[in-house]
Parts: sequence; structure tokens; C-alpha cells
Amino acid sequence: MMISLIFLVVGMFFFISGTLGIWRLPDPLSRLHSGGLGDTLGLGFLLLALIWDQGDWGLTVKFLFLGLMVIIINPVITHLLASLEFKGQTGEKGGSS
Amino acid sequence: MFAIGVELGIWVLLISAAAAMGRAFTGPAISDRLLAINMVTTKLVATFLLLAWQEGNWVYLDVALVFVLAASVATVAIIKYFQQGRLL
Repeated sequence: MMISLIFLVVGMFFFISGTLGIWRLPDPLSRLHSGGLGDTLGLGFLLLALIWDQGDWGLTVKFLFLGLMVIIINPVITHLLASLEFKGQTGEKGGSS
Repeated sequence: MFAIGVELGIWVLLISAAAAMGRAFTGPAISDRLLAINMVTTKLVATFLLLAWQEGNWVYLDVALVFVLAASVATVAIIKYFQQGRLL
């Protein structure tokens, strides 16, 4: 009970710090850093809290699959956005290719 | 004790999703807007999980899985459009 509450509080801390980071940081690349890391770690700790609270194997498999999905997809999207920002292809109609 | 944490967590997630949506409306760069939409998606998935715990109905977990897959495919398609100037 207590350990799952601690994991939930840590996850909420990461969500709040990620949201605060995309409002307070000055640079688009540092905003990408804050948003991607905060959301991935927040959902990871939230899934850990729910796994610790439930203790059911069928639900645990689904939670781990969801965590695997997010921990693969979210850094891929952040990396694509960073390459889009770093190469300067952010015109209104898309790149001139 | 954990129920109070889940109740507070739902409100924290909804407020921070609204804040990220405001960044999506007023972001100066395109990557800011797309990152903010991705953050709203992740926060809504976390909200689905906490609501599923609160109501004791784990059908919402399957909803969260399908939501993650559909939203990630949509975001990657929009990023590819801005990289190449055309879809596909």
C-alpha cells in the first residue's frame, strides 16, 4: 500500500515537472528534453504503482505491454521532433525537399 | 490512502493536460506543438488507468492500449509530413 503510494507520488512529480518544463524553458530543444523525459518516466512510475497495488498476473502482463509501447514510441517521437527542429525544416508548408 | 492519491492524481493529470494543450495552441515552433499534443496523449492514457483503478473496471486498460497505438501512428505521420513536404 505505502510503496505503491510512493510510486504514484513520484510519477505525479515527473508529470508536473514535465509540464512545468515546457512552459518555463526558453529553447525548443530543451523543451523537447523536458517534455519527452517527464512523460515517459511519469507513466512508467504510474504503471509500477498500479502493478504493485493490483498483484494480478493478467493485468501485470497488460501493464508491462503498455509500458513497453510507451517506452519505445515516446523517445522515437521525441527524436524525430528533435531532428525536425535541428535541421531547420519547420516551414509553414513543410520542407522544400 | 491510495484512493486519495488516485483522486488527487486524476486532478493533477487533467490540469497538466490542460496546460500542455495551452502550449499546443501558443507554441512558437512546430515541434513545440507536436510535443504538447504527444504529452496530452500520454497524460490522457495515465488518466484512463487511474479511472480504471477508481471504478474497478479494467476494460479502460484496453482502451488505453488502442489509444496509444492510434495516437503514435498519427503523430509519426504528421512529423513525416513536415519532414518531407508530403504524406508517404
